[in-house]
Amino acid sequence: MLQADAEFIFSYKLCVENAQAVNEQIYISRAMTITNTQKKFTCKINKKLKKNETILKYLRNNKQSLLKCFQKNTKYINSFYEGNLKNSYSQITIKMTPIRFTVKFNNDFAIIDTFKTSAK
Amino acid sequence: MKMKSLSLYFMVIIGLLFAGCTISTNPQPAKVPVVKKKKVIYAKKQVSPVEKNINTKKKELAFLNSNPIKEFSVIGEGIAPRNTISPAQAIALAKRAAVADAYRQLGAKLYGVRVNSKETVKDAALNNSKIITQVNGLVKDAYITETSFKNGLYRVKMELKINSKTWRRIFSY
Repeated sequence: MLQADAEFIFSYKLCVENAQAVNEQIYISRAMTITNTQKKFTCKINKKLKKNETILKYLRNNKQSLLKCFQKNTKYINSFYEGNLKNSYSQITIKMTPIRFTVKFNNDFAIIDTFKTSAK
Repeated sequence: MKMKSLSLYFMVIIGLLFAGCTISTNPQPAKVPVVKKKKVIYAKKQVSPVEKNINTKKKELAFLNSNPIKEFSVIGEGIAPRNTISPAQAIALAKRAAVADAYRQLGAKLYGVRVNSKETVKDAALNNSKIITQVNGLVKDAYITETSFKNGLYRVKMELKINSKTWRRIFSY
């Protein structure tokens, strides 16, 4: 069984304060427009799509493995450190730029493909 | 006169006999005079430590210029928050913090750090000191190579490989 692929957008934000993760946001949404550029294989998620499970729900359940897939993607880093005589405060914010991807389901696994940019 | 000459001859013969001079029939070949080579001691060139340092730096630079790929490696550290539901959540959050720290360090290496400092002195004594450091940048293609969790501290080793041409194009300032 090979289902038709749908296009999604993934983005990520993480906020760390004083070496402790305080806020993490993972966004997965369906793309409203379809990209026509060439695809490239990114990763494979070794989990089945359950019965009556939507693709979006499947992706949300496997968001950690999806995050690993896009580990090499572009990230914007914003770091701030303030040191006083007795105390210090540090804050790091990491934002992953939104990335478009498609999912193809096989019997036992799902294949994640991203799109090749024109610069490459 | 004859007697005088005879006595002279006689004395010469006796003298020669006493001197032990004999005429050899097999004359030895004449020895070739050996010219001894004089040892020339050269004084070692004294290399000053500054010159040595310059030489090593030159070698390093030559290596860097010849190496087409530049590699950046950092170790990020993160700690687990106290108010977590489970140890697994604590580890997951500590890893997030460590990854963020590693990215910050990579950003600092690639782009540099903006530093602002303010010190207040009152009555000839330091009253207040404030240091603000900031890092802003974009990092791409960085990947985690090693992870470890020990005594509540999560460590992440992150590497970034970049082509030297690309590096020069983006970061040469």
